[in-house]
Amino acid sequence: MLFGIHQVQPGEQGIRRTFGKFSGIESPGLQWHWPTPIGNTRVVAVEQTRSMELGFRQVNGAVTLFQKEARMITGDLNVVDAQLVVQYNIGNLQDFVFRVADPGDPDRAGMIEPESPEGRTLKDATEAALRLVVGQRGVDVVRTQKRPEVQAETQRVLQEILDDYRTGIRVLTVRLQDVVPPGEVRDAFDDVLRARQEKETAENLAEAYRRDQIPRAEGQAARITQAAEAFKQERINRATGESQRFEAVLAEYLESEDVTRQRLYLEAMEEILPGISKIIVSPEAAGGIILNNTRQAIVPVPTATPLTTPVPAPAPAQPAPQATQ
Amino acid sequence: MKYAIITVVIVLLVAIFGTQSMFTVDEVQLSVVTRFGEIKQVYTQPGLKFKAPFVDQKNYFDKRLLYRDLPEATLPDSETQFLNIDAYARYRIGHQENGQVVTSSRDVEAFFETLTTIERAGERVERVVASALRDEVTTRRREEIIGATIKTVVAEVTDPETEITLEEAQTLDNEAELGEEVTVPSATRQEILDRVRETAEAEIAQSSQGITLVDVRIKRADFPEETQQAIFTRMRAERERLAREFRAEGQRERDRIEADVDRQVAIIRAEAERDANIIRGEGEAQSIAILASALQKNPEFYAFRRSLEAYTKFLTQNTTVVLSSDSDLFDFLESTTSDDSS
Repeated sequence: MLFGIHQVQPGEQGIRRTFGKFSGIESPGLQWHWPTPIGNTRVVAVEQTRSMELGFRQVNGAVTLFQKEARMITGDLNVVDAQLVVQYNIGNLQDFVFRVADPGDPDRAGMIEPESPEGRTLKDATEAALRLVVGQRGVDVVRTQKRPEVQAETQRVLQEILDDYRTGIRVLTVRLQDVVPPGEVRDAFDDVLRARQEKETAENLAEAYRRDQIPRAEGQAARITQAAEAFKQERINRATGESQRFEAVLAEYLESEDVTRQRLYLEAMEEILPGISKIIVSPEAAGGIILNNTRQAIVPVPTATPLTTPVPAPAPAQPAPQATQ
Repeated sequence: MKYAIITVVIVLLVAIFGTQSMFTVDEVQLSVVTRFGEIKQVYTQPGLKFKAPFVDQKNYFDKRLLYRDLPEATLPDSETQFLNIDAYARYRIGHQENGQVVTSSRDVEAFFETLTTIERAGERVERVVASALRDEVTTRRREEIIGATIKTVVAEVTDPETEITLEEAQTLDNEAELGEEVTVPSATRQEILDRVRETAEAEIAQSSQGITLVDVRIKRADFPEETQQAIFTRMRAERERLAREFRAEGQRERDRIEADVDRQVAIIRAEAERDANIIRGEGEAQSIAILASALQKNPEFYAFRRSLEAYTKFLTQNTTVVLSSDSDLFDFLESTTSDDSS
């Protein structure tokens, strides 16, 4: 600052006054102003990214909620605590220095340009913007899905206010750190998230049941119809076989009827007669015979013709010698 | 030696004279020069200025956008629900011209004569704005001050004030469903601020005090401390209701789907049974047809064969048969030639 010679560093700009009147913006490099009291230059790091925290304070790395700033009402009349960080730099140094009076923000006193809109102006405008945006949306939406939208909209509204006042501040980013329901109702909010999850799980289980049961039923159905087809086929085959067998025998029969009949008859008898009890009587046994309950023949006494084998009367007759045995 | 003292005295006199007759007005300042309490000159532009030494007083004022923080007020809305409203106002020494704020000498004069200090100007702004804010707030519902409306999601909208389509609802909340309520942004907060600003600005301008209102914003609108617990109770109850609803819906959906699946399974099975019966019937019918067409060729022979088959089946061990010696079976029993004509 010797005789008005001074250095403006890269990332900085100087705002120079002569007799109090604005006389130019100084770019980085070696610069000069009329020595005081005639002229002065105020050098400001315009390109430096500056931060402002809303709703919390960071002291030695520990984050503590600052409830007065953080607490706000959502569009559906719920209450949340929101923590926000605004990053900005200085877009127009002239506006920044000359346009807006500011009572300053005691919280950040050491870290901001004195008498600049970085203080209360920025903080109040941010609060106004954020609460306006949050006040238009429901609590679930603000907490989860639409955070990026809330951030973007807050940035838009904030920049609008700052430009309206001609603060020369350029907002770079607005980031919602945390949006939580107040501690007193936290559990109830978390339970809603859980309940939503459970609903989804229930629906998924039901769909899984569907994906399991339907194919299984269709499989069973296929098996049932296939069994019926098999049955049908078997019946047809059996009938075909039987009819073919019949037709074969029929062909033989048609060639020599009597012989075939006799043969078939005798074959059948061969099969039947060995296994059963037989009584052979003469056709003149007109009265017929009576079988007692042990299947022994009882011949009535008055008979017209004698039997082929003598039988002692009236004793029960012995079964005739079975000549065919 | 005497010259030295005289030189020093002359230099001193010049210096004093200089400082008394020259002064600077900074970029951020307005200056009013008074002589014996009367305004001599008003400076709205910065630079080096001159005045009469000793008799003229210079007064400085802030040319910039000024700030007034309104004290937090607990205001009732139209339904006598209370909100803590914390607002601020921004104003300047000047007047509105074509949407811009211009600071003319006349404004500065008016300000100096009526309000004189920034503090008094701030108080004036505060009183007017606070009053306008209260008036506006008491005619609005809480929801309007906060800035949203609750609408029900319906298939067809008959009342746009309280209803919204599913499509629109889902742009606001991805998980919105028919019958649910969604929070829809409304411009009422901004409307309220605009009206307060217009009303207050009109009143301030009318009094020609050389100041003009630039902006009014609500920094915070919160539930009063005393009602906090009641609010939390309500919130908790609402959350519990929502949780119950979700769980019930989940169960209902699950029951519905499972019942539907069971129904479908039963249908599939019944249809399969029905088809199977038809198929089996076809089998029976076809087998009967096949047999019949074969047996039709010689029914008598079939009867003969079939009876023989039947005899082998039912004439079993426990049966006793009485045979006539006349039977064909015994044709050759007593002689080698058959003597019947059967």
